[in-house]
Amino acid sequence: MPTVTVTVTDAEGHVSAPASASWTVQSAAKKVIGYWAPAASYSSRLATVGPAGVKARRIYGNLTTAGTDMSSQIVAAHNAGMMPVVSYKLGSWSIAQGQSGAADAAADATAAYLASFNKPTAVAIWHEPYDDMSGADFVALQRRLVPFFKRGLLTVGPILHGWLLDTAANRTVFGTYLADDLLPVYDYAGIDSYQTGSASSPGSTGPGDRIAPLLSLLSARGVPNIPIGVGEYNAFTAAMLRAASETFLSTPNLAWACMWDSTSGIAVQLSGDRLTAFQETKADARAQQ
Amino acid sequence: MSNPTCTATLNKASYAVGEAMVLTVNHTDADRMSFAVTVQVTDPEGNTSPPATATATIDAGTVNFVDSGGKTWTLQSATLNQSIYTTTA
Repeated sequence: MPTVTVTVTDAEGHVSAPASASWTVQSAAKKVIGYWAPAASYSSRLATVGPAGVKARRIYGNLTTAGTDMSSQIVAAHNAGMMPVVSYKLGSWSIAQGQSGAADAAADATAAYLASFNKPTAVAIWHEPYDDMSGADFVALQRRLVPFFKRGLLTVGPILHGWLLDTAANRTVFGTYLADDLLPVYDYAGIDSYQTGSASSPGSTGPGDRIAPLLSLLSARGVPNIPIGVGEYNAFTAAMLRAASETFLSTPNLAWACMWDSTSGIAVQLSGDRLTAFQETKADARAQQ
Repeated sequence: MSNPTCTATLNKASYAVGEAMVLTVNHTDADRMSFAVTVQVTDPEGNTSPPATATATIDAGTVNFVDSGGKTWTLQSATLNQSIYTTTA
């Protein structure tokens, strides 16, 4: 057990009796690598990627009165030994209604349903809120609904836009989506993070480049050790994917990172050397198997 | 003339790799004192300068470390009787 021993020496050379403190260091937890593909092609895509090392499934749903939205995907994830990473939006309720309590019963029912599996499940209420509401509105919504998910083996936290961490001005905006009273309540702090640029002109900032500024921001806000989640990531080049993977796998705080495997403006479905790069990530010894 | 005394307390007993560790060292010395001297100068015409103050501590003490794990502890803040250090697990 490592020990630090301190003494104090005064100006006359007198030395205090030594005082010691000891500690233990837990071995680094293995990272959970997750995956998402469109539901219609999920099974075939997962077969192509290879299920080995995929230990989380990204899922998108809505709060409902029954609380069981996306149950087929949630059950399938648990049955496959994957942790569901579920983002909920408000379904038939507006943001204002969510803030004022109209969705409370749905949140309670959803949390009860998720907790009933008695298995780790990550939850976010309204991921990437910058697209849809101000920081103040997001914080109000979180204050209302997050407490419902503080139960059992559920973990709950925000998943914000990673690109907001790319400039000082946007980091200030990013910070408005985090409230000092909520940060100690959250079980993780998350971002979605994609490479800048486009498939034809990839940018120089990759998914892993937001981890350092995120950790810096969280330290400054008083939660230096909060686990980090990456709700979505992808990159246009294999080199950028490998760089991101190394950052994810080597960052002690990072708990999970989910590949978003589809083609849209922000990403391109994995193939070729990029598919190989992701397969290397989920096979890494630092990732859960 | 007296020996200082100290205690060392970590904020946790167990850390994850990479986690921030905070060590609080409380240290006292009966001889230790802090004082301030304030001076003003008055010229023959009776004009008085603004006050200037200097502070000093007698026997502030120096904290010495021996760490079996080879860690470097960085001072984050200090008062007369307490110093806070951090390192990474």
